[in-house]
Amino acid sequence: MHKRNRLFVSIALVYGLLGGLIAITRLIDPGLLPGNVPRAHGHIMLLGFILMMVYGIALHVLPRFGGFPLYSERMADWQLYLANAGLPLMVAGWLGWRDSLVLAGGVLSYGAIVLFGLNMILTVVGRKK
Amino acid sequence: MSTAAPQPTAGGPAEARLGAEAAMAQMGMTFSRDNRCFIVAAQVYLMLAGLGLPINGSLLSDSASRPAFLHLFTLGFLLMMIYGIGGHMLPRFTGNPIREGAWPWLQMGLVHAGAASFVAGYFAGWHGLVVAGAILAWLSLAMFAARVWPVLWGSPGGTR
Repeated sequence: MHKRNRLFVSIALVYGLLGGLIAITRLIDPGLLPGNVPRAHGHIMLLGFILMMVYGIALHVLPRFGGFPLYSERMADWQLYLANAGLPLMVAGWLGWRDSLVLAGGVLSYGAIVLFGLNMILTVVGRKK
Repeated sequence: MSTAAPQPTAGGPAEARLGAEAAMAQMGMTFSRDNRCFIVAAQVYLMLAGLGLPINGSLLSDSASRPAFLHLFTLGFLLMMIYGIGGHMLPRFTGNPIREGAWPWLQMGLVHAGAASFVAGYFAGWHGLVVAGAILAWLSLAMFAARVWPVLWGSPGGTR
């Protein structure tokens, strides 16, 4: 399994634990964490845990199931960077009430989503670079 | 399944790879009992979460039961699917074995107790039960992470 894909799965587990801790903290004392905690929790679990897990597994299995090599390793590397730059910015924006950070993080996270989508489409249809 | 596969041996990378392939050959493709139970449980939780549709008209309704149905779907269905499929596929992707024995069953007990307590707490209006359920579910995820981490970052063919 490619190191980048193992990183995706590992980071997904870290985000899952972090998102859970944030929710438990909020349940125990709603005033302990500032900002929009439920929204931060939801996005850490969905974009951080579930989506990163899907990224890691899909980047490994879809080329094999599709019968073609991954279209672009570089796109997948940049997907890792963008996804992990975007989500912390979004979370910082929600916890700090900074809409500009949420917007910047959202753009970066969306960039990762587009890179993944295009890379997977071009991989399963067997397009050569 | 073949029983004549080469046995794992100590030595250099070539021997380690041979050992990993031998271990993989013994794994087979079908689910182990624990992963099978995770997958079955996930479908049950999905059907329970789906009850929000006929009851509230939406999976994410504006009623007080929203967190209960939402977490039946996420904690019950999504998380257990990840447990079952991740626990099955990741050792095959990396060639490293996953911790078995009592660990997956403890993980399963924690996530079932967690999801059930969390949901029951919301329906009953018992905040303490909600908190206890969340902590139990989090512990199950921590246990899964502890089981999967050596699978991801251990050396192929290594025995653990």
